[in-house]
Amino acid sequence: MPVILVSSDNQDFKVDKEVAERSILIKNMLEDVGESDSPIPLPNVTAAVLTKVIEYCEHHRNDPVQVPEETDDPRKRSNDIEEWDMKFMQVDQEMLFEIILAANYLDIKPLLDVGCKTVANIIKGKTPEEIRKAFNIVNDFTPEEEAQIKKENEWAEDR
Amino acid sequence: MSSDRLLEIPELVSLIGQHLDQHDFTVCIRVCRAWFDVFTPLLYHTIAVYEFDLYSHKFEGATSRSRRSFKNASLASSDEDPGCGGSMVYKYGHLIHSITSSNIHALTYLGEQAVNLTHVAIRRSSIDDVLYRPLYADDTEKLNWSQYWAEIQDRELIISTWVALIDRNPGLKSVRVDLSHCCSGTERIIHALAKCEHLEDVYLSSMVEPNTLEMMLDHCPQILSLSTTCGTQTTTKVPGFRHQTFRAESKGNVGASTKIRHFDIRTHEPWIPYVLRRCPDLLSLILPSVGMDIFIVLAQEVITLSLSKFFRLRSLELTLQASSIQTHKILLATLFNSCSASLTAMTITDTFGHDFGKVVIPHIDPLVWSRLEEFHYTGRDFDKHKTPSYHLCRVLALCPNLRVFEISMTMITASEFLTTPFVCSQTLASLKLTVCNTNGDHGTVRAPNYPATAATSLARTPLYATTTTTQPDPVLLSG
Repeated sequence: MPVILVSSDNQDFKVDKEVAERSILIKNMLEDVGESDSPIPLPNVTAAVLTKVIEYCEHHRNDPVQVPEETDDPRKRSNDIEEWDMKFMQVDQEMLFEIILAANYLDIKPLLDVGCKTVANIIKGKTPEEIRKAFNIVNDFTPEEEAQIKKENEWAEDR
Repeated sequence: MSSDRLLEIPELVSLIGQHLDQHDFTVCIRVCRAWFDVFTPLLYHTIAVYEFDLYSHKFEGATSRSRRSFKNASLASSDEDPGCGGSMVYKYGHLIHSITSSNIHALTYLGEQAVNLTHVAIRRSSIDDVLYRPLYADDTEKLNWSQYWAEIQDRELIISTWVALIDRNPGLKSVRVDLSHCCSGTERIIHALAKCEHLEDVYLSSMVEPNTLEMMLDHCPQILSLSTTCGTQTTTKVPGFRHQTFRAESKGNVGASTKIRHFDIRTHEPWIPYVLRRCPDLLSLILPSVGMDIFIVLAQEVITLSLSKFFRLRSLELTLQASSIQTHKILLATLFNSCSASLTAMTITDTFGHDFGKVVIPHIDPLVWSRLEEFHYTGRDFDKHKTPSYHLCRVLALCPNLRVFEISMTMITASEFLTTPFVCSQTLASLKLTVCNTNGDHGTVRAPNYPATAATSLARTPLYATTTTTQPDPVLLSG
């Protein structure tokens, strides 16, 4: 039973219901709408990003629904991104952020987790300058300000 | 810029932050102003600074703070010194939700502006840490500290710090307090804790006052988890009860029940059964290491609790101090059998002998085994006593739902291990034991490097290695 999703730039995407329902937002919309065939507009997601999101949902269509695990220490999970997901996330950083924002809007928790882990892995171990290069960020601190911040807050690292 | 949009959503920032550590945050705040605003709350959310000193500047003579730690060299050396180092904790006090430190002086400073705390703990980070003062940097400091300390007669500093901190932070959920110097001030701390409606988890280390536990249970019935250790000066009196006349069936007035689910009270005092009796909601219980006379009473107390239809203990940990458990085997079996409706984890430390497998396991109800998921056994130090423990592998043959089987400080013979029929192949995920031949020579087996002949059973298990694997000695396994 296919579902039609419409991106913000008016492109139609036909996907299986099972795939579309990986998004809790879409799942809830479909339940509210019932048997109707009308396309679902997604004004916050462009076609390029929606293509990627659909690709993810297709690959993971048979995954069991995730139960929130409160007892796990989230920090320990940073490295265990499966190989397909890692390749999937090898996009430019603009697209990476767009995927995370889309996953947040569409409520696709596993994709959101993978996206955030990927961003964290980019940040980890870098100096501020390396982070700026990775994310194309302009430095608006003077060198003195930056040194001051370092001096004032360094003590807060775990001993 | 998408990164700007992303950083505007606090839930997403905090999701990313879950995978970063404190060092990463100190780097992120230097990237640019937007990142500074977004990551500073994450940096200050959890402060774990064990060594923090603001008081040695009050002493006469130069103190070499930089010798104690290079970090201290750049920290504020007095309350009047603005801008540098830890004074940020004043500015961002409202962002701090969790503080861990190793001495009360650090806590005094770190917690002074905090109003949103949910977690506070004083704990040692190293064996040298002392709980009421920073470490000495040199002899001058040592002299000064002993004089400074001598002036505080009733440990008022510690007590008033704790009371003020608790009063300022009514959202506290988890507290770890060291009571070793609090004496009569303990009561004031407990009264302050009583006002924290969300308090769940309490760890009292070095209790000295005899009524501490009773006060705790009376005033804070909302807590879910209670752990304590006793200081060296604990007195043994509980008012109204005397050690010699204590009986399990005593119907003395013990006070109202509590909601405590996790109970870990490390004391050898005989009044502990009274406290246990007030915890019908237990999910996890660690019985202290006590002589068999008190152990028997504790076991009977648990058996009595189990008669309630609401009893649902899941995890039981105990230490056996008897040189022979032959006389107590029925009691021990009854203890486990009484929890058969809910028990999933069993942890036994058998400090004297190796009899548990041989003597007690046969008397345990199959219902217990059918439910059991975790079995941990610690024996005597096997380097000094080379006798293996027998019949522990029976657990592998009895428990179809076993996930964890860990044997430490003792050995299993290879022949027993290799001839055990595993019923838990589908569920076993973690296996740790030391295998020996009949001479007591041993090698450690950890999944997934297990001997080939047992592989037919083990190969079907979803075992994964959680520690580095060591090859078992091929000589011993073929012999």
